[in-house]
Parts: sequence; C-alpha cells; structure tokens
Amino acid sequence: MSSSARPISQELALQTFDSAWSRINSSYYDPDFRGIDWPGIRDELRPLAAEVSTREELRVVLRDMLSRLGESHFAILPQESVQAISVEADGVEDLGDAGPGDVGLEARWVDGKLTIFRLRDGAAADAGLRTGWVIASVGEQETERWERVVADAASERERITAETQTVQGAMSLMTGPVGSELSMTVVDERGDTSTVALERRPARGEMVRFGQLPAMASWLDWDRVPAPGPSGACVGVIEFNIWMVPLVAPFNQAVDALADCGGIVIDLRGNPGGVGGMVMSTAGSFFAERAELGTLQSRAGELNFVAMPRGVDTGGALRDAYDGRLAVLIDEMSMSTSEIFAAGLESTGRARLFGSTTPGYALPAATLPLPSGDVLYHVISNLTDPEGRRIEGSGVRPDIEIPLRRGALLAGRDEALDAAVAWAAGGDDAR
Amino acid sequence: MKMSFQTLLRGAVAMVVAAALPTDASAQDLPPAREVIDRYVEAIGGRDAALQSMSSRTTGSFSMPAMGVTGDLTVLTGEDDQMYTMVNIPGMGQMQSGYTGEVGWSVDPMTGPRLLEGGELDAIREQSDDQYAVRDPALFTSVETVGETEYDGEACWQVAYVWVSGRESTECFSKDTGLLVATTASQESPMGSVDVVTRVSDYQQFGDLLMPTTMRQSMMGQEQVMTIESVEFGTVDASELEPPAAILTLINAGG
Repeated sequence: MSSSARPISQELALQTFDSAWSRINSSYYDPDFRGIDWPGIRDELRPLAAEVSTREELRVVLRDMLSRLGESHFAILPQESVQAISVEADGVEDLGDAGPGDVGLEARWVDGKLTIFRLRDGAAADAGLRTGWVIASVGEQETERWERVVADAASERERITAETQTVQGAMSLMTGPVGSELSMTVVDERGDTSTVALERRPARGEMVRFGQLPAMASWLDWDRVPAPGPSGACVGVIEFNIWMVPLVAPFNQAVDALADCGGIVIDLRGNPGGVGGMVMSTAGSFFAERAELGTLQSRAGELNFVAMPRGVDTGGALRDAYDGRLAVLIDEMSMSTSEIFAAGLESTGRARLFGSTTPGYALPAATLPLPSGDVLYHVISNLTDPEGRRIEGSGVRPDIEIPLRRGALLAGRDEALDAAVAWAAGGDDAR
Repeated sequence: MKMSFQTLLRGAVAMVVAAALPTDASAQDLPPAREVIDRYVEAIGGRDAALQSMSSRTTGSFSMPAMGVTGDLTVLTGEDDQMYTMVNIPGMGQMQSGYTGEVGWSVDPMTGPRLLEGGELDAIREQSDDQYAVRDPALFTSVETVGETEYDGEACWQVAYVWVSGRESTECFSKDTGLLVATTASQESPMGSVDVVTRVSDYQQFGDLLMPTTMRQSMMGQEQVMTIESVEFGTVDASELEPPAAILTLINAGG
C-alpha cells in the first residue's frame, strides 16, 4: 500500500491541518493576508479535513487551503517524495542506477505546440529525436488538451502561467525511476508522427539535499565560444540547472576562467530556483561595490539581497570584479531565485536580459514538518526588486524578447543564446 | 580570549525576532546592574575563572529544526581575543567567521570571503574582548537594569547596555540563579540590521566555568539551535586560529 493510500486518523488529520494553518497564520508576510479571509478558510476546510480517511485525501484539502492564497511557493511535499532518496551525511550521493532518471529532453511551447527545445545526452537524443519536433503525447498524456488550455488563456499573464505549468507537467512525466520506460509520440519536421520508447537514465549531476526539501540533481556547465566576427575574442557561457549551494564554487571558478572574455552569458532558462541567498555571492563576481538586488519584507522587518563583491578569486589571489558585458537568458521556466538574480542585475543596469518573460514565482519560503509526516512548504516573505516592483505574479521581462521559432529549432539554432552571445561580444542590442 | 556564549553565536546566521519587552517595574524595585552582573559572574565560577587566560575548543551541533537542517559546530578561542567559528551544514557548506584580535572576517557560500566592517566589526571586537566575560564597565557607556521579564517561565532582571561603539543590547539574568537567561540585540549583517533574541539554558560545568549548552535564536519565526557537547581548555594551537587563505589575501591587501 502506498503511503498516500494509507489511512489517517481523524485526530492526526486535524492535527496536521491545524499545524499547517497555524504556521501560515503566524508567518505569512502580510498579517492581513492581502484581504483574504484566512480564518474563514480554516472554518470552511477544517470540517473537510475531519472527514478524510487517507493521507492523499488530506493533501487535497491542504492543497485547496494553500491555493486560496494564490501565490507560488506553497506546497505540500508528500512524505514519500521527501524521503524517496536517501543521501549520505555530506548531502551528496551517487545515484547509480537506483535514483530518479530522465530522458534528456527539455520542452517549451512554440507556436502553440509543446515542442522539443533542448536535447542533452540521453535516451531522447539517442533515439533520434530533434529540437523543433512537436510532442504529441508524453506517456498517456496527450498534449492536445494542454494546447487548448494555453490557447484559451485570456491574457499574456495567463498564457505564461499555463505554459509554465504544462511544461512542468510534461517534464514531471518525463522523469521517473532509472530504467523505467517512457512512451512519447512526436511529430517531425515533415509532419510524420512516430511513437518512441525511451528508457530513463540517471539524472545528470550530483544529488544535493537541503533540509527537508527533496534531493535534487545539480550541475553547472561553462564554455568559451568565439565571438561573432573577426575579432577573435571570446564570450563565456555559463549554465546551471538549479540554485544549490554546492554550485557556488563551480560558478566562481567558471567566472574566473572566463575573465579574459569580453562578455559572459548566464543561461538561466529552465532553472527553477533554489537557495535565494546564493544570488549575493554569485552576483558578487560582477560588482566592484555592494549593490542591492532585492528586498525581502516579512512581519519582522526588511532584509536585502545584496551583491557581495568577490575580492578574491578561487585560487586565493586578489581579483577585480568582472566588468565585461553580462547577459542573462531567461524564459518561462526561469523561476524564483533565477528571477531574483535576473531582476536584480537588470535593475542595477549590470546585465541585459534576453529570452522571454518569466512566470513570476518569486517568494522566499521555508518548510515545516507536519504531524502526518508530509512537509509544508510555505511563503515567509514578500520580495521586491531594487525598483520596488513585485516579481511574484508579474515575472521578469527580458530587455530583448526573443520568442522561440520552430524553424530555428529545427535548424539546430538557439536564437536567444545567439543574440545574447552577439551582444555580449560587443554587438548592438537589436537582433 | 575568554570563552563566552556570545562567542559561539558569532557563527550563526543573522536572526530576526521581536525583542521581548520588559514589564513595568519602578526603578526603586530594580537591583543595580552591577549587582546583577556580579552575581552572574559569581554564578558561573567567579571572576578568576571567567578571566582565565586559556584557549578553548568547543564542539557541538547547529540546527534549524523547522527546516530540517543540522550541522556541526566548532568554536576556537585564543588567549589574545582571537576567535574562529565554523558551522558545517550538509547541502549548505561551511560558514566560517573569526576575529584575529584586530580584524573580523567571514567566509560563507552566501556572501563569500569578506572583512567585517561597521556594526558587524564592532560587535565581534567588543564581544571578543577579554573583559567582556565580566562585563567590564570600560566596555560600555551605559549599563542599567531596566526591568524584569520572563523567558521560558524563568523570571529575570533585564540589563540594558550601550556599548562604547554605540551598539545597544540587553541581557536577562535569572532572579533565582543569577545565570544569564536570554539576550536581545540588533545584529548587523550584509542583508541589513536584524533583531535577535537568544535564550540560553542547560548550564553545565566545563573546567572552572559553568556554561550554557543550549542556545536558541529566532528569526522571522525560524529558530536556530546550538548545542554544546564538549569544551576543552588549553588545547588550541595558534595556527588553528589563522583565517583562511582568502581572508589573509584581503587582510594583506588592506581590506
């Protein structure tokens, strides 16, 4: 019997409900709950919690409660997902063949179709799938229904939210135990449809666990690419998949290694965030003086995310701040800490943003173990960028908007990256 | 440097919590601050024990229970006001800080290697002073008993300090045992100024000193707990108090 189907007593269900409600009641950044009747929600939903018979039924009630706040960074993390991956005492574990796997594919919406955006080493690439191909189904899930959700969005904001959530859903379906099989139906450039069976392989990177959050794979790549034109100069490209602290040192090493390049591009597309405080040290590579990147507002007061100039390189020698051009790539899957970083650097004028608007999922959060064994993930602060703009719900707009085009993807081109590299190399803003 | 619980707290992340306010009490009901402090010094082992010139090595744990974060804590002190603190948290990395007797410094994954300035430097310098163990009057421009309050059910006299640097803090000493129960302070950090309340408890004897082994700090509804497991005296080599290479680079460069 799965954990979710396990019965739960009325007493434990109510203890869990009360614990979650009370924590939010005492820690939510706005004591007036933005006009939402928080006690009224308790009065409405607590009787439902008293009637559940399984843990999953209780989660439905709790998630309903959280959804009433209408913000990101509220979640119920099931006990089994939090404990699914054990990690060694140092927080890192070699997954081997036992952990979570994926097929090495990233999807995005292009011209109203869920489309293969990027391929990495993995089963999808080995099976011959190509960027720009349309994804018709992922497992049992046909994407046509998602297409209607995206197409029916009443505003740009709703469309971005729908795109983000459906891509998250698709990517979630693509992950699973290593060795398990995923069936995908794709449509190639000729319009031919095929169904492929993809075996999930170990997720790339080191598994890192922080507190009660589930263990997550983390990796960072950097590369030195030639600048367009005859200059012979270089542009550095740094990409990492998540903001986890073990990546601070590799990030700094990458920046130091690229110090001679005329520009650096930081690719945060698909980066869902992580440890917010990391923005201070990572941004610090690019500032000679402290600079405010954003402000957290809680009931206890305000704190600032501040770029902390990094005066020493990873070899222990004095360093100057990197003062070349800095471009940041964002898209509808750049969330939370990625949004804070991008907004902060854009507001200070230190970086130029390329890509597409982010979803606006940027609120500092904490966790609380609940009596049922699940974990409550909950917002504790509001956050604004240096210009006082709230990122949550509005997202971060790029300076240079570069929508994905299927033709370019089919030709193997990453137009947003190309534009960022060209600008970082000293080119004009226009694409 | 003399071992004090404030030394241990330097390794913690900045904390925020509303300070407990003293209850009303007329001035004539309050004991003089020096009397309260002297009673505290006596309670922890006396002036000679508090001022003994020996290095110390403290080990224990650091945790944020609500976040499920736990790690190791090490605090070293030298004989001349030096201090070194290291907290190692899986998934978070090492957070180190220290004071050389002249320079305060910090290295952590969030802010990188840096030399402390302003209020941060004032705090570590003043709390690292040998004479802080006995709350030497020369450290303060004002020391006054301002009220009585309770922490975890323990009634205590609240003493307010204005340090020479201008910083302000309070300490609450048990009316029953004379021991320190809690402190409040506004702590500077690169992210801004944060109010801190620290409750201390579970005193145990280490050498000639009675020391708290549990320290609970709160910020934004979050609690950080430091638990002391062992304290050794006179075993720290001077080299162990040396700042990391990155800090030495900054010091040699003049900051």
